[in-house]
Amino acid sequence: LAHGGGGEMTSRLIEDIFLPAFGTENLTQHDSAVVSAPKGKLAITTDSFVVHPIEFSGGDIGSLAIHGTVNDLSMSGARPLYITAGFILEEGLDTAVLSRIAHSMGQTARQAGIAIVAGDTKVVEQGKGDGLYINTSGIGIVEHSLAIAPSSIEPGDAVLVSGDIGRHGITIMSARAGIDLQTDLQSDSANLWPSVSTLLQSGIAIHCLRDITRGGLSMTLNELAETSGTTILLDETAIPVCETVRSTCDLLGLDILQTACEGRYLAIVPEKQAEQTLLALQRHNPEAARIGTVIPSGTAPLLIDGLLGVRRILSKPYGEQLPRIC
Amino acid sequence: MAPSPENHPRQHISRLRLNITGAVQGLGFRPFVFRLAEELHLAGWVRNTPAGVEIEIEGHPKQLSAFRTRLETDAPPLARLFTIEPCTLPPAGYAEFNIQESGAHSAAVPVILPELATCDQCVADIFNPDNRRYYYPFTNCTHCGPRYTIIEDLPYDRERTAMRIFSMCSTCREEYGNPADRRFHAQPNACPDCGPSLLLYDATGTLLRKGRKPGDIKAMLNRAVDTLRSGGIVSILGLGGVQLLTDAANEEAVRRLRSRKARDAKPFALMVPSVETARTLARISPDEERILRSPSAPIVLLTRRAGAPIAPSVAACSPSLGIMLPHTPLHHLLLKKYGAPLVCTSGNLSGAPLCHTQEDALRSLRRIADLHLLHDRPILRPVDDSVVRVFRGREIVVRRARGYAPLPVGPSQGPDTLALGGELKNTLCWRAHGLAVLSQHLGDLETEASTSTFRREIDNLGRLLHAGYGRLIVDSHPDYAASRYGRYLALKKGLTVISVQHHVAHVMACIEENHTPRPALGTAWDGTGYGTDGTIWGGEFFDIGETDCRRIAHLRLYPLPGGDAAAREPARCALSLLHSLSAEACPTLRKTVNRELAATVRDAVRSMMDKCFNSPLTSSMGRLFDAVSCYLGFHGPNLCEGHAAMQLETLARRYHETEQNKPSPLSWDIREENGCLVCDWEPVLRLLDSELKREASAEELAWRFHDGLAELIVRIAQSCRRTHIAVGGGCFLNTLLLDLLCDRTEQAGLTFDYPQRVPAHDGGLAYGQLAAAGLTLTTV
Ligand SMILES: [Fe+3]
Ligand SMILES: [Mg+2]
Ligand SMILES: [Zn+2]
Ligand SMILES: [Zn+2]
Repeated sequence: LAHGGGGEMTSRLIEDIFLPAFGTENLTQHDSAVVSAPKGKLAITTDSFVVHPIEFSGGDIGSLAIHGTVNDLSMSGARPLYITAGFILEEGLDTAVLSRIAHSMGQTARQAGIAIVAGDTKVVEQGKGDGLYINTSGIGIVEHSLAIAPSSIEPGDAVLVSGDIGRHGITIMSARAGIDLQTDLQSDSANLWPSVSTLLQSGIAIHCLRDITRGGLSMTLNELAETSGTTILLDETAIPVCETVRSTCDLLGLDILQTACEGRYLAIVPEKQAEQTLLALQRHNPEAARIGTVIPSGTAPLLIDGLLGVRRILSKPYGEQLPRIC
Repeated sequence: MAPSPENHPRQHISRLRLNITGAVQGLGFRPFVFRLAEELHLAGWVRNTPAGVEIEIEGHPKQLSAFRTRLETDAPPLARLFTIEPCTLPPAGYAEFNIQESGAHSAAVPVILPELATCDQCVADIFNPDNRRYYYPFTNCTHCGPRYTIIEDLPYDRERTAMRIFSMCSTCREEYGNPADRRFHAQPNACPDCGPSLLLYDATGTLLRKGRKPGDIKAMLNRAVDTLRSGGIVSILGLGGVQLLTDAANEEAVRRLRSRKARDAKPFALMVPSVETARTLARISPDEERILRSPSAPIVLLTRRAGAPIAPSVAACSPSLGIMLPHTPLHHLLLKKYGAPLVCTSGNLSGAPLCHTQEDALRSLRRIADLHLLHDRPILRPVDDSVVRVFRGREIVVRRARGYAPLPVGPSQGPDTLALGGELKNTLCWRAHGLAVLSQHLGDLETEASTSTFRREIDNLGRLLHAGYGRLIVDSHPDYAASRYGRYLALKKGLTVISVQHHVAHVMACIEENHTPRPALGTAWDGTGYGTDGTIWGGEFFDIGETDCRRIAHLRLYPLPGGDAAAREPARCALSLLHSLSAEACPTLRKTVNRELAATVRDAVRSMMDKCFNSPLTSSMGRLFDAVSCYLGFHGPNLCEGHAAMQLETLARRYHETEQNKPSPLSWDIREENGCLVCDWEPVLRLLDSELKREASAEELAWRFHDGLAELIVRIAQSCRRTHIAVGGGCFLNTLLLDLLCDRTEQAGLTFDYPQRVPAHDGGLAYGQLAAAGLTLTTV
């Protein structure tokens, strides 16, 4: 791939790669996409994807961009409708790779029932990008009347997770560490809308939803507790983690609770609907579990009960994981 | 008739005012002054002041000077006088000597006394059937008993202690009011008619018996002894919190305690009925005996005798045994009945702070203890048992708590400041009224409970000291709980927060304690601490001046694959060092590491280092100890802190004590890189490899490794032309290393200071932070 600068090369990229991959009927050839606006409230989100490596077991940066955007919309309980995609390509990127990613992206979008309605491409000099970055914006429609937000979280609420944690993070991390896990471990990257949709249809009075991404369970729950002015108390033994993820965390010296997911979310619901929520979540992933409870604001935003009743503080990771033991 | 001193003409009388600062209140210092003045026929008064006591004394100059001398030589054992400022005044014509009540102005007394072990006279009282305190477990006097754990506020008077809920009977009140009585102003004074009761609960928390009469006490003690004899676990509420007891000779019982407490292989301490029993378990020098018997009554780390009759899992990973003597009447009564060594460990859940209330003991230790022997005298703050060891006749504090905290470590210059310490083995240090007051050991700040204790103790200590702070000091590690809390407090109160580099604080703790002259070479060796350059420090040398501090040397960097995971598995560090060398170097060491790490793990760890994935670079000496221990035969993960390093020290010590002619040290390479000295361990590894090939013993090589480290410090001092050396960090708990350093520095004509009253590890960090806050750190 050569530096295009918006000329002939770029338009060839669009015609040769993106249009066939995404399907042409929705992708505008004009400066903006004109789409029909359904009745109701809209949810709008934007996100950038810089994952490295750009292709990994269980997905690639393209499918991840679709899932990430769809999931962000789903977390407000919005049905995903439209997505736009901006690409920043590094000069020298293999066009075969780009083509694979574009196709994966198109296929993921079709599966998720979301239309890629606009796009943009820029090529930067070699060394100024990391192969490929994608920026997306998503639009979805809110078809319920719940206030799904951190401010709705109340002491007494139940905290559930939609499946076992850490698969995405560990897949990416072991790839980066150059370790062949010699297992079938794959990223958990997935579309969360079907699961969220089931919760809504089951009549759960959802207080908050949050996908577990960067910083893992630790970061995500710390933020939720901080914004809602509550404390979240986890039960360590209840957190679902698969054996491969657990042993790889030990090997790499990583904290499972700080490891990212791309297809798992937290549902915070009234205690009386905890059981019903669990059943609904388990229809999509049998590993879903009740992992904690919201309590009034305490010593720290996030606490965890370990074995034999020792209650630890889980603080927000400050930066990268640093050795602490002296 | 020779004139008596009273009949001297007036002009021969003079008056002296003595302003004394130090730990002098509440241990019978004023009665001591009173008796001394009476004896010397001197008039005047003594009273408490915010910083200590003030004395005015009037009489013949010769008597006055005798008074001055004996004030220091004959003072009660625990009194610590920091400064005595004399001031000579014209005579005031006092007729007698008296003890003045503390005035309102002296509401702020910074010196709070620690708990004192039961004195011999009180021990005699409880074993004397004719004494009214026969078998009374809460007997005490001005020389002994609880202090810090019962004080709500100062001045130290009964109504401001936890003892105010017990109203003294007329006999106790009489003792309390009589200056000639040993219990004059003994704030916790109590007896079987008026004091606290002993309570016995079963495992479910049901009260079995409560009482304070000899009959009640005996029945409860018998029940506890039966439980212990049958291998059960008994919780006992002592001075500063709960201790868990079990038969030290019963392996099954000790294992049960370990598994119920979810405790790793960390050694358990023992309580023995007498020094004679202790001698059957360990070798005890006269100094060690003195400290065992001292009012602080700490756990003393002693060299275990071969074949000591104790269960193997009491202290499987250490050659030492931690032993203490009974230090309350309750312990004396129980141990006398039991007659054999008991495991005596902190009553807490692994990682949580010491339980110190009845409720907490019954709730938290429900699944651990089979029987609870508690009392109803409230303990206001948890204070663990202290741990010390004796080195060259000096006491070295390893854990500073009961019997020591919160005595000031010494004077400290500067504005009132609070230093928050580190993450593990946390202590706080408060500079107030010109003194540095170090809190008791507060534990690892990873649990909610220890964090709450930490925050509460900040408030408690501030209240007791009547001190505030204008600045806060924290470790520069951004993720330490104490650092986070410090930043939060500073923000809330609009104060300055100063972060201090971990290893500079370690070194400054030693320099401050020993008054090491500067410029000095400061050597900080520990596990891992946050460096200022993005690497993880742990093997550092600083040139310490009055206002600045320069990092002049460090160990050659190596990766720490998996961060904290490398601290658990010594073989990872062993592999990491070899990975930095050329592929064919050190084949013998490689073989050892290959036996320790499975091929898949080895490949993964190598790959992590190649890709710089979660493999921060470090100059850690602690991890280097782990690696060398692995090369010399250490197997498996570290089962407790310092496990591999302790094994290496043990090997070396065996050689040290048996071999007369010592071979040459394993010498390091020192070279300059960008204006900083780099201490390269590569020659040490290559020597280890070739010596192992010619089948030198692990003991010999471990010794030569230690000696090489002592040599390294001396060489660095010589190369930067410093004659004073101070050290800090957990590696210097290693007394063989200290021994070799003492020898080598002496031979080289250098002075050598090491931490004593303040722990060398992170438990002394807060004290060092106070002194380090004013230094500018430069690196090259
Ligand atoms: Fe340290
Ligand atoms: Mg996102
Ligand atoms: Zn006494
Ligand atoms: Zn009484």
